[in-house]
Amino acid sequence: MKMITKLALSNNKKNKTRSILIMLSIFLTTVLLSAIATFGYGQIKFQSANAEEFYGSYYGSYAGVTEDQIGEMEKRSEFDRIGRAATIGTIENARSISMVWMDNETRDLANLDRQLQEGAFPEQENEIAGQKAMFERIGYPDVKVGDKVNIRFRRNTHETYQEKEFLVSGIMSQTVKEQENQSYTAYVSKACYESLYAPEERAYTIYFSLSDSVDVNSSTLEMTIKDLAEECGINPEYAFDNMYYSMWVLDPGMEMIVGCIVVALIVVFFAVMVIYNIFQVGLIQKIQEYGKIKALGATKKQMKKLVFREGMLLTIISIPAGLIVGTTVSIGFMNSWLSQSTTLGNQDVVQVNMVSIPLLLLCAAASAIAVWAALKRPMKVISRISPVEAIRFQGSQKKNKGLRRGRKQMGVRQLTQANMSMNRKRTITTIISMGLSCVLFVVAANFTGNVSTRYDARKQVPYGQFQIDLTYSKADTAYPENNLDAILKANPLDEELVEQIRKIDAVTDIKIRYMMYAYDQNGNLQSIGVLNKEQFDDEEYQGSLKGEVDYETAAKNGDILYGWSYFIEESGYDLGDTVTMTMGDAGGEARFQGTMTGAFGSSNYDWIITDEAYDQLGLSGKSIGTIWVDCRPQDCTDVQNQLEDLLTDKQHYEFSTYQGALETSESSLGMFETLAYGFLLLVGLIAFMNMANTIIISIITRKRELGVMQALGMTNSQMNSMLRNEGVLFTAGSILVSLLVGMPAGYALFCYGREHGYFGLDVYHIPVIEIAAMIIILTALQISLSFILSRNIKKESIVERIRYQE
Amino acid sequence: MDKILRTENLCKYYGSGENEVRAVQNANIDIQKGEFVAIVGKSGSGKSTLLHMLGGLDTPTSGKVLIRGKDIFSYKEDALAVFRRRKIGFIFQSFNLVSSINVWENIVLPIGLDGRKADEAFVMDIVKTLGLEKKLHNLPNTLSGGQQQRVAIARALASRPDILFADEPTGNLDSRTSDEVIALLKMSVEKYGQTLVMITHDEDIAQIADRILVIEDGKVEELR
Repeated sequence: MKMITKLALSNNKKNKTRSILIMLSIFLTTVLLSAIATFGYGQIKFQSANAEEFYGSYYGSYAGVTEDQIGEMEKRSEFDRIGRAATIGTIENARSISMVWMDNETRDLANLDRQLQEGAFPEQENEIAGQKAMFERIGYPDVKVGDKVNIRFRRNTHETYQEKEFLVSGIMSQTVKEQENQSYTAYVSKACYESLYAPEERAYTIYFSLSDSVDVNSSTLEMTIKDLAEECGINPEYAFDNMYYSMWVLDPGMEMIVGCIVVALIVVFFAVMVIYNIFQVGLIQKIQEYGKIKALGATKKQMKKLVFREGMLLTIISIPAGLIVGTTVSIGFMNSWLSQSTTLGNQDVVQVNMVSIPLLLLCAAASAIAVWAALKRPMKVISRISPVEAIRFQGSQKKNKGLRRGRKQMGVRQLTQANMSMNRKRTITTIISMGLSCVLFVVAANFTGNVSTRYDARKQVPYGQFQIDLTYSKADTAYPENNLDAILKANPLDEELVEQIRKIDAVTDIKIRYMMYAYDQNGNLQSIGVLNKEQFDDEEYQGSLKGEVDYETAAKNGDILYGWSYFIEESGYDLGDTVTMTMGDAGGEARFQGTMTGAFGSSNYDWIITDEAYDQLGLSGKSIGTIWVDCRPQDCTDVQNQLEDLLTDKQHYEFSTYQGALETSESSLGMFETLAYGFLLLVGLIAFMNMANTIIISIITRKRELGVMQALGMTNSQMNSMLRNEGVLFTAGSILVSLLVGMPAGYALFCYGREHGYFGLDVYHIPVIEIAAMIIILTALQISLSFILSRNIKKESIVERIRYQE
Repeated sequence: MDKILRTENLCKYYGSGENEVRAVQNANIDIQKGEFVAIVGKSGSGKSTLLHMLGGLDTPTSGKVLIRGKDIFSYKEDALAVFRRRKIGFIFQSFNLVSSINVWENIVLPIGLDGRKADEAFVMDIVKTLGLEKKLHNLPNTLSGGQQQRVAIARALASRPDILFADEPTGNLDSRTSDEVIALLKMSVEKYGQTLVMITHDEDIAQIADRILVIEDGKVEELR
């Protein structure tokens, strides 16, 4: 037994290149597996440890609940804790600021107290609490507990604003969600709510938890609470489950576990393929050696053991090293994510130990199993070979008829072609196996390449650096001047403003989008986007279309399109119906009639017509809905200041910057991107291992033949160019295979991701940069590899090479 | 007579100190155009090393090899390769045909590597002389040993070299085939006016040569 281990060890030492390549592949595989496992495990542990902290401990909420219904709920044993909350109204501001009251139970269930930075939640009728930024918005910068503030608010859009003096009782911190939406919440007391709403007007939002006797998990929770709502006489439409809480606490992280397992299985599969290929290709050249050992009396079993031990010996260093590196990378990544993440940065999160020894052992076992699976066939081949056959073995001598049409004249190029077609089967299997290991890269690139912070930001600000949008309401009966029709008639974003912007020195380009208002059949105010061809096509590019969406047709026929394909029923029309509306803007009003031929995915307008359809309305002046301003990035601050100056006395607009949108997007997508590209890099490395091995072996096994050719007068540069051509052919073939298989698979994965709402995925575009990078890197690596190898070969004299294996 | 090959104090030593092996010592050889020279010696006597140096495959420790008066080791590596394919033909013991290309392609390969077009009529003549005309499309591994060696001879002759080196061309062949191949080799060398230097350990084969050189412990002596 010991003899075989010794032999295996010395075989590994002798086949240094093969051993190093396999060790690297095992190492990389283990790094990937342990990083995935540690990260997944850490996430699950972290999230469930912090779930209550982040998402609150309520199971769900019911909106619009009356006092009687609350009585019903209290009678039922299914409910454990019941907390009340209510919306008082909105505070006057360009941003949405809502005013709410929550009782102690709700605050506790929603874990709101942790947001309180100083002071207390309101108790008295005139007390208020909120974020510093919120007070700043309504004109009280640097507010302190105990300050008096005057607040203009109203209960709903049908009422006028009323002013009330409040005493600041507490200052809250801002959540990320609020920051991104630039929406705020002000908290007031129960007394305040009751003073503003008569008993019959009161309707509550109820936050509740269920008692332990109710058997729920994350998939049954929604149905359960809807059923319970119905039994208490509450409209089940207004029942919402606390999805994240149920996901992490009720059945921890099934999705994460499944995701990790799927990725791990894919990694194992590719590892098996690569290691198998390295062994298989390496064995052919060593088959004589094994034959000798067999001839000396090794049994079948011993031969199998020999190959097995050769493989397993290589795992001894590479698996532990992989585990250590993988775990370290994962912990480092998680820590940097925690310290960067604005969600968690200012809170005391429960730190968790991410390292799970059983999981790491499982990873080690998975890597070892991958090696074992890769060794199975070589073991069989070696154990079955007869000694005589093996000793005589002269490389793969397939007698394919033994004839070759050939060419009259020979040169380096013909030699390469001949070599490829001679080993056609080997060439094809090699190309396919190399291609397949690049497939994972292409698939992953299809996914990550489409997750783009810049793209995400461009959804907010599609052109240039700055965007000025009209803000408007559509159903403000108390203040009709805030409604779209009134605003458009006043036309705050007019051509004069555009001219002034154009005069700013650093501004390089301006784009404009016009809009209109309209009244539908029921007299409801609607927004209409007037798009030119470019804008129409851009909107079309966003996808999720319904019906026929084509600028030329729409322009020619004067068609109208709905802005939200998902909510097309709400338009009150079906595709193909004739839509009749009164449309208007700064230039007056006109009657519009057109066919609704389709719908965009999610535009900013209720309806969309083309600029040509607009012209047919014959109105005298257009109203601008959006202005985009472009400038060189270094001029941004300057331009922004000047734009803000120009806009100071304007109302009803919203100013956003591309940089701001980018920052928001980066904070939410950045970590996902790093993660994905890290994965991509490792996968790419494994694919390259396979390729390097194939090239190395193909050169080593032909060492002698190359020597002969040189003896016959092949110059070094001719040999180099021959090897390079071969490599290029392999690379090109592999890239082709990887694209043919990887692109459809990647697209499918993308579609799956989009359907399941993975962030940053919206419109599919071919990941050109990633694929180009892969092609360039592979080609460069391959060329340098052939160069190094041919230099390496030259170290041996021609005579030595001719004698090789003789 | 026209002197085609000459060596001056050609030496090849391996290792150093006590382990020094003197494979070839101070060899001074003269070979005339059209001669058939056999080099005989026991296994390990240094005959292959000598032949490799004569053909520019191996570099000497000291001394010179002059072909048509030109010191071949004064060439740079690539230039030497070009020199080899134009001026020297090799025939190896293990045939060393390129396995992926057919007989014809193997024969014209050195010419192709030189970027020239093969003179098809001349090559066909060689092919016929060696009786290979029915095997032109065969791949080397479908041929018998004798046939493979005949292809190797054709390959060596096709580029009209100045001199032919054969390293135990019959070492891998049975005696009957071996006689056949040697007869063909001698016949074609004479027909195409070639100079041949052949290594062999077979005394009978050596007997048909014009001259015999014996190498023993690295020292070369003229036997006849």
